[in-house]
Amino acid sequence: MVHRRMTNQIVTVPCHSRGRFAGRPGEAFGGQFVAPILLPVLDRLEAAYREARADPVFRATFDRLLADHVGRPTPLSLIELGDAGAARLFLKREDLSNSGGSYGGGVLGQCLLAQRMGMGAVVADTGSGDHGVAVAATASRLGLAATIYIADPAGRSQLAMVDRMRAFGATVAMVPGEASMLHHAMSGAIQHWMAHGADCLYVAGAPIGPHPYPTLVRDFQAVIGREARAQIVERTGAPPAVAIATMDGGGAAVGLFGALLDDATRLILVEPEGDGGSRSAAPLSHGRPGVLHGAYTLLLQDADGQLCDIRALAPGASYPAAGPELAAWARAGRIEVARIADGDAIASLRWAARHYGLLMSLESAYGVAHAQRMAATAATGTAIVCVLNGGGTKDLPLVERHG
Amino acid sequence: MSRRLTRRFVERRQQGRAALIFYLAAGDPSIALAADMLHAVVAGGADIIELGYPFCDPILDGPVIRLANRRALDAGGSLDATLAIVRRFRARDADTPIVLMGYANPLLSRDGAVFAYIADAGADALIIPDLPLREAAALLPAIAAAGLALVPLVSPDGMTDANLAASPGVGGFSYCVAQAGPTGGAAPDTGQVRAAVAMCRALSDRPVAVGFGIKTPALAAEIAAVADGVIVGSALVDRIRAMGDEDVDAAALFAAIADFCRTFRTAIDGRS
Repeated sequence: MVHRRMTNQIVTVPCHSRGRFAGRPGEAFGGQFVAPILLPVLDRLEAAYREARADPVFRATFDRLLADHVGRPTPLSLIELGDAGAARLFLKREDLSNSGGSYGGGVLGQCLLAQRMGMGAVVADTGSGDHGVAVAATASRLGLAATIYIADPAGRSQLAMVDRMRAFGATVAMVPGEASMLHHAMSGAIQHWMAHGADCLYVAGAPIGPHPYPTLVRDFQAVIGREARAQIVERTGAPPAVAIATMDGGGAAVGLFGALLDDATRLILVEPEGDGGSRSAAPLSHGRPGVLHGAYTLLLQDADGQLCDIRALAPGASYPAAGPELAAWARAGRIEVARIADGDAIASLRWAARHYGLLMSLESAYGVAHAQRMAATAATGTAIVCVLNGGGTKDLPLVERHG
Repeated sequence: MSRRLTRRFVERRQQGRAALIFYLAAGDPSIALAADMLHAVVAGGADIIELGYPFCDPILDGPVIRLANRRALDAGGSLDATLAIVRRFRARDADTPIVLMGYANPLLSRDGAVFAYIADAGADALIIPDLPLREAAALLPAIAAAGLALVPLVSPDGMTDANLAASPGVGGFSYCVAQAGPTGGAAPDTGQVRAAVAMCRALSDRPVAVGFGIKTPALAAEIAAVADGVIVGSALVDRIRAMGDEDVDAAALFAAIADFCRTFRTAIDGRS
């Protein structure tokens, strides 16, 4: 008996219009692929955000706490390349914010929304620990209870981060370890949220998940790009020629790129290529469309639709999907996608530490490695901005083990 | 075809019995035994089978069913393997409806012929917990054209997208989720279940089947007294896992599973 053969072409899924991001013609990423029990929660969140955006008091509180809690604006550091290139390389120093990562704006905005909605608690997942620390710190500032899910292997290798979360009063839940560490932590956090949705808001660390999360994160993180653009214009007289971010979930990338979409700036998202094997965490380069954690987006998956095991060296990059809006920008050709191998990222991390006294996170190092590569051949004076997602103290043991 | 499912509920209602629905993961513990495992569940009194095609991230499921999905994947499970099991089951059982349960990605990452392919294998309806009606709307014509029905999930605090619940392609029964949180949780409060069933009945005249946390024959009997169907998942899956730890042959395994299912059947029929 001959059965109908299955092909793996894309089902075009033209769903309802809210939270949709157009990719190629006929392609719409995003949506709300969640259990029905979460829909009322998402609808409430969307309505609360719409009201908050129009409320000058909310805006003023957000701006005040960006300064007084997150420590913004963060500096823009010029790196003198000398023989390494004729371009000017500027680093947007998210590592110098209060919690030491690029998550501050998104976390603050979402926690303020939780407060506005009358909720007493937040829940989040964290891959590298940076996002968990930001949520724990902000929840402490706003008087919210925080529960942070982290995959067991990441938690054990990032004990200092777990200690910081606990110091801020957060409950840290270790999810039994498997591969794809961030994805398992996220599933744990979402299950927690499904059981406590009335009083607890999920706080996304990346522009992933169901609508309205990708939009919330993009809007609240846009402060990164607005600051960087103004700082570069002040120093060079023009927007940057090139802007670079690493794909570690994409929270820094949407924040930086969102403010530069109307400029002629080349926007480049760098994905960790790993060592060519299972360590590749490059859903924009190698993924095909599917549904994960509430969004239709580009996923690393097999022919049956099972997610690939991601064992990225950088824990913050161990997620098998791209944010739906980043997927749309990439498929529509608005952003370029590049790939950097683990060894090149580690070399960059060491180079910046040894020559500039600057210890960046391993996640950031993929972007900086690509920036170095471009700087080497760019015309004299070309302004390149690259976002540093966080500091690298947490990654030194990993880097050392890599040899 | 969804008609097979509708007919089964009508028959049971005429007999004054609640429909007994068992969930199991296709390929747990083995692909080779899977079709006979379904026959054993039917022999034990199942009216309808909810057959899970495995997924690596079953987000609405608790630990028992999450592990069953893992075992099924490790055994070589997939959507294709699940449909092959359905074909083998259908060769000997043309009457027992099969509702395919699983997550959106294995379906939506394929081409639009996937629903016809599922119907062709002999499945009758779909439960997809991460495909709410507002997202399913665009797919409902293909689901209806294949003769399938998407079973709507109704959560404890009401139904969002109720305006879409009467669309062609939505049907079979209303899946009344007895409690918030993942499958296999604590036993639901029967008073709350009664209220949730009443809400489902107010929303549509479809049969109402209740699931989530129904682990004992006694609780199943209480639920059967107020609903048209009772769905038992984690309890059976856990029994299958426990049998796998014992060194028994296939015949003894099937006999034990049938006996286990029969305890639910007997309890339900005694009360309804």
